[in-house]
Amino acid sequence: MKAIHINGATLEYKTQTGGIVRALNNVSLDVEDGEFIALLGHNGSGKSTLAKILNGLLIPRLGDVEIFGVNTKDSSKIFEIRSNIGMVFQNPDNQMIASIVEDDIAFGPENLGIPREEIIKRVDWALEKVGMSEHKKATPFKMSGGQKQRIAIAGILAIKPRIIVFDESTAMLDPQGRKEVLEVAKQLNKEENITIIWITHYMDEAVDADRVAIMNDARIVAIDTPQNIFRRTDLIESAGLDLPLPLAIANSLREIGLPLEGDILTEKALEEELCKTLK
Amino acid sequence: MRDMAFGQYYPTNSPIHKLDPRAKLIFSLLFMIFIFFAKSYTAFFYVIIFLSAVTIIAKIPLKIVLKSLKLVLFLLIFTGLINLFLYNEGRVLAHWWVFTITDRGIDFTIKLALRLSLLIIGTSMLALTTTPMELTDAIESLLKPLKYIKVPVHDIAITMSIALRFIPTLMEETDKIIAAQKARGAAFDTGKVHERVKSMIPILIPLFVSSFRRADELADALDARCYNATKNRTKMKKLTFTYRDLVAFFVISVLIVLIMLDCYLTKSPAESIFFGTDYYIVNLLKSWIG
Repeated sequence: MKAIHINGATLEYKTQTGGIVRALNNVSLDVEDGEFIALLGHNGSGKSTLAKILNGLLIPRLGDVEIFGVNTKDSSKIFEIRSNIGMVFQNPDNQMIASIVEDDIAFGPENLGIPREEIIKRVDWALEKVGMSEHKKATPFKMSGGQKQRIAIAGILAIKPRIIVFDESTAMLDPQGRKEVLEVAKQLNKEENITIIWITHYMDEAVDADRVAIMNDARIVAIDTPQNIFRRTDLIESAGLDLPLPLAIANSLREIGLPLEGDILTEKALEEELCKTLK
Repeated sequence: MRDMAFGQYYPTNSPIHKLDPRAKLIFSLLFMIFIFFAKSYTAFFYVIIFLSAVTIIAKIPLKIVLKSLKLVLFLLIFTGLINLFLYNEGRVLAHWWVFTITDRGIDFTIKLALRLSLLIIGTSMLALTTTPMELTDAIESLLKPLKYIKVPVHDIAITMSIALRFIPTLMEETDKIIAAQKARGAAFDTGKVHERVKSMIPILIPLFVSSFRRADELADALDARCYNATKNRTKMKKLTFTYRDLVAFFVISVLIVLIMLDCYLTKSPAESIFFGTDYYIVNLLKSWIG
């Protein structure tokens, strides 16, 4: 069974002036259980709308969304879907409901009516997974953006979802915070086999994904391995995105005649390839 | 900023802090009711002894306790002066124009000031020893019976909890907006009163706009975390009454009994300005002296 199956989803918004904006235009996507998918697109390309149709926050006007075989249109099963697919949003401040870390993390399982002893176990487990165990009794207010976002992730983990959607969860963070949060997501993907949908407009965050999907103008215009996607420079540019910096540097170097080989997506790959070539 | 989220809370980890917040809430309500039955100086003495004991056990410095009185100092002085000069019953001690000072006036004024001060200190004991979060839990738990008449007790509790959670966030946001408007040349602390009030508008509008946006995002986040998934919600933190609460209940019961005995059982002649037990103590003192 597919973790996510989207078939021809179409959805429009009404704007304040009375116009209609199409946010999703016949979007189809299949995600296998345990995959790490990066979803790239510029502002207004429909990424966040795609995220919101996944857990039934929005229902597409046309087409279907199925999470482990359950259709989001079935409102009687909406909580089955939401306990299977967690979502981490952009602003860490706007997704915390309690003033104490452990209370906030317990919120999800409490809503699901999990027994008390099990909640306590889950809170400890979730905090350990995001490396915030020592802050259990703290108040999130004084923490850095990266720490707050890790607590938000723990709050989702405590629900024990099989899929987590990160909707631009690093957009408001400093470089250190971005790194921390991405690391946690990768680790959850590897160790807990949680399917990850990583929505971002930072290209360099997508290079380690299993597959990269590019959104432009309410459609998914391409979906492939990072290596194949980033070879298609024209496609990336037409989607209003920038190449990952190491690749852009490598391409420029190739233009001036350096014979760099292979797919250079990370700084490390660029460094190695440069050393090899310059020798 | 931390102060804002925790209100007056003064952490010392004392036995008073560890009391069940529901018990503390009920005790505070009892205290607020029965302080109005204290009518003699003897009864006030009982209350002062009680509050002193609470303060010492809770390990709260006297300075912090008295700080809560500072806010109402003006009210205390104002009502005190009015009562002192305009209370007409009793033996006249001094008279000037419309102002009269009588013996019963003095008595009444002192008792009013005592009652108000003790009321405020007593209730601030609750705020000093209980976090707002614990209070929210306590209120939710105590209001539980209302569920049967369809009062959304949990929704009220979660609203309170979220409100508390957002106080420091919105404070920080306000500071940022003020800084941004100052950078644009706004002046907030000069000019006449109505000009200053008007200058708050450029702070309030962005604050409201962003609050609505936050509320929107928060609603999505609540939904994503399965809010309202089941009617049988569980709670991680369980409030439990312990022997401590029993001891506290016993102590406060003794206080109430003493106050009520003084109020209703000890009678004093109508012509004496001393009430209840005070009358007997004064007579005792008089017989000793002369």
